[in-house]
Amino acid sequence: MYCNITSCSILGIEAIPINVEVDVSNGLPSFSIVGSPGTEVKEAKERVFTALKNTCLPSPLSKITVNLSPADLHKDGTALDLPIAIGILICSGKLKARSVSKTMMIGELGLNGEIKPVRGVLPIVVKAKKEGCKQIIVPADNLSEASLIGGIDILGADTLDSVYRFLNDPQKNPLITNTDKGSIKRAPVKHHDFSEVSGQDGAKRASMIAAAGFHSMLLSGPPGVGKSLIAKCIPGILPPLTEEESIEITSILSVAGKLDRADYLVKNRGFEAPHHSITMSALLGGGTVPKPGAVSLSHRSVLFLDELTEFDRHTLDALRQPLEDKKVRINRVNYQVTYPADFLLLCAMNPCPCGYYPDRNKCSCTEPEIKRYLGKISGPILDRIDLCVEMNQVKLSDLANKAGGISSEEMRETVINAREMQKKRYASETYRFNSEISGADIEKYCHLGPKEKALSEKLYDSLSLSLRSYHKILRLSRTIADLDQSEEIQEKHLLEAVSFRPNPAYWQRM
Amino acid sequence: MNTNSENSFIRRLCLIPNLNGRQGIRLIDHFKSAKNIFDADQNKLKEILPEKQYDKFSMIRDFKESTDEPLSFVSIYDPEYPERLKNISDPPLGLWYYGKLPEEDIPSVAVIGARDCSDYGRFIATSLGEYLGKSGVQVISGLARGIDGIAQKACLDADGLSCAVLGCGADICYPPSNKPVYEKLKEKGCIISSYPPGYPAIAANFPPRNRIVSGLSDAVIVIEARQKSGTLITVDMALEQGREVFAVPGRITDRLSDGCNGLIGQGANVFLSPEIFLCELNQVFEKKKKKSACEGISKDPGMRIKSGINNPKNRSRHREFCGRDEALSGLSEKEKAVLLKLSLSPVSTDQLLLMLPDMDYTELSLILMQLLIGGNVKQISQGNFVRIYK
Repeated sequence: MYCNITSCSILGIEAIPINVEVDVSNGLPSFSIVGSPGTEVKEAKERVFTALKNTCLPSPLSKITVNLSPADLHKDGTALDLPIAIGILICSGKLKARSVSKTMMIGELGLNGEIKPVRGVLPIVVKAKKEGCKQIIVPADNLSEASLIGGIDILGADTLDSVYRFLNDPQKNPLITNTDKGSIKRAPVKHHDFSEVSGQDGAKRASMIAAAGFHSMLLSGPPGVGKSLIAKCIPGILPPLTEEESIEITSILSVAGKLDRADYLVKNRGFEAPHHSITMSALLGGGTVPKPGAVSLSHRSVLFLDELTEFDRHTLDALRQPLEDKKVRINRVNYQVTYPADFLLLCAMNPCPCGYYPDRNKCSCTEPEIKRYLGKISGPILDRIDLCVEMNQVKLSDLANKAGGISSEEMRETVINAREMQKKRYASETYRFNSEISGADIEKYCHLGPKEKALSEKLYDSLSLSLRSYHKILRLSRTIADLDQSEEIQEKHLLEAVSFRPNPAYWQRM
Repeated sequence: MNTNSENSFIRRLCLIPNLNGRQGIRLIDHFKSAKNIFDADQNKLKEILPEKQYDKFSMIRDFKESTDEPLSFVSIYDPEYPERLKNISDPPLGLWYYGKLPEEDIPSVAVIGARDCSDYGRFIATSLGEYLGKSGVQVISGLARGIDGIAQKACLDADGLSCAVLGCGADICYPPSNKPVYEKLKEKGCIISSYPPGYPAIAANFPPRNRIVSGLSDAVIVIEARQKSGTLITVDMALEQGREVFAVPGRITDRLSDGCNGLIGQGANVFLSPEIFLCELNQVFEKKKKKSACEGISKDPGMRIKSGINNPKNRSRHREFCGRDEALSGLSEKEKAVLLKLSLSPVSTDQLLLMLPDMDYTELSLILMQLLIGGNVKQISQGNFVRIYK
């Protein structure tokens, strides 16, 4: 006898509907799974067989064939355990084929028949809704995450037995539904506040610009001036996530298996700070079974690379493509996956190997040493950094005289206002932030008046800018003007933008 | 005796790199001529020469030099050999060189200092090099990174005479980063080395090289030096050779000025400005001229300094060098206020903000950018600025 059950598999962060076709026919007892199964899917055989036995629903001693359609698509993960088990029950006559119509099911089976949570539930539920399923059976542990999506019945199951009984008689043996939807109280995430940072007005100003226009930023300075603290403050001033962005981030974390069970919908922008020993696959994503890397885990959030010069040069250079395309594509022979990677890049480094340049009383690094040190950051990466700021040691006595600086709350407000201006401006575009304005649209959105035009020409000549860095300055001045609530880019905006360019005298000591 | 062939024998003798000048002269005196050394009995030579030098000597014994060597060679027996160098305690036996050897009747000054100099040192080296170049004073130095190269470049740019003494073969540009200066010196100035062509730059070469730098000059100016540095070795040699030493004073908080301030403490001349220095150099040179006239070493070393401190034009230049009033014209009040807080030592934006309490960061960065475009300041790292004195 043959039957067909709908399930889903994850490829990248996308859910792919899978038809689990099960056939039980006469012949020598055997169990084979076909249709490009990955290792975990192949192992489902043992889990399903034992789980059925331990649920007192032994599988028939016949020839069992399972086909996962589309058969040419590689399948990973353990979510297909449950549909295979149910398929066998239908084919052996213990359940009616009718009972699973318009039902999608996912779940990993334990040997005792319990149903364990799986990765990527959120995108699967979204897909189920799109495919027109009426209900979806998910592991009970994934229920709250799945319940974020409305318009489809979401049923949580904790054992194979409960699913069996439910499918036999839904009225009598209902499955768990999420009753306390949205009632889980989450403690607000506490970010560091900019009011904790004394002095460092330049770095604060640059942080605000970076947050408002999603511009990448590089902080340099001697050890202990608070570069990391500034970076940690930034998530707190980023504009809040939209519903859409929340679900996008949650999906990635769900696929990566990094979702906090207590905090199933990500409401805050994250802060990913990988150590500099990180490998290329850990940064970009990869592995035999591809998993998202740090760039994707920090999608729509902050990716902070501390001690930038200590990172492997090739690893850093690999950031070029995701910085440009805002996504990472991982190719395997049989398939490819794409992970979104639209992150705010923050970097920190010392100005020289000893960390104290240009204070020649402390620093005795030679020019070639500094050159070699800076050379660890390739030109193309530096080219993609919009804001460069140097932080300097502040004297304790000077701090005492200085009034407390601007707080994160005030900065966030300014950032949100600037964000609103961008939202209006780019309503008809595919991009959303000033940092993303395409070269072709620069003229349109970064329009300069005659006075500003003259200044920009002067800047272009006297600072011998390249066209790329000139465009970078225009995008940056657009953000600075937005922070000022000014529709027009003014001279002062241009000049301030220029002050944040990577200083060629320092960087090009080559 | 054919001098030409004698010269080529001396030249071959000089290929022994660790044979110092004194030994070489003694050797030639012993055998009466360089040619005889090559013709002499092996065993006799073995007795006289240390083992290492003997090995090297046997290697170059049958060495045939290519005739199309672009390097010139001068031995201590030649009349063209620099007179100043002859008077030091251990002159090199011979010199390989490109260009024209330093002239006897033009005063020459060694400008030396730290390799990793500050912007203060850079500024002094540039303006001094340029001034000396314009005044027709020869600048002698070691073409090292930092002060040496900067001063020589500035001198050449002002169409002055300059001479580099290298610690490797004169055909090797060391450090390679000074290649443009090296090429210019080859063309317009002079590159000297006591080491044979192709001889690599090794650390042990530099102290002996330094004695030639000071030996070729009438006075030595130290621009920036740390407490323990190669520059101070040159100063010691200069003092041994009886050269006048001038030190450029610095702030007592700057480690890069410790060497110079220390020299002043020990009684070195204080370098106050290029003009005052030139005046003092004049006196040094006059004294030397008189002395050499009495001893009859030089025929007529006519003083060829084009200008002196008594020239009123120089006085104004002097003021410009230290003065700052004219540079401020045409700037706004706020730009002036910022510019006056800047100096040749790097000042960070944070420091500026503390010094100018009524300015906020954005305003300050605008003013700094305007000054940068106007060429009044230089941004040396991302957030540190120094003033450019025009």
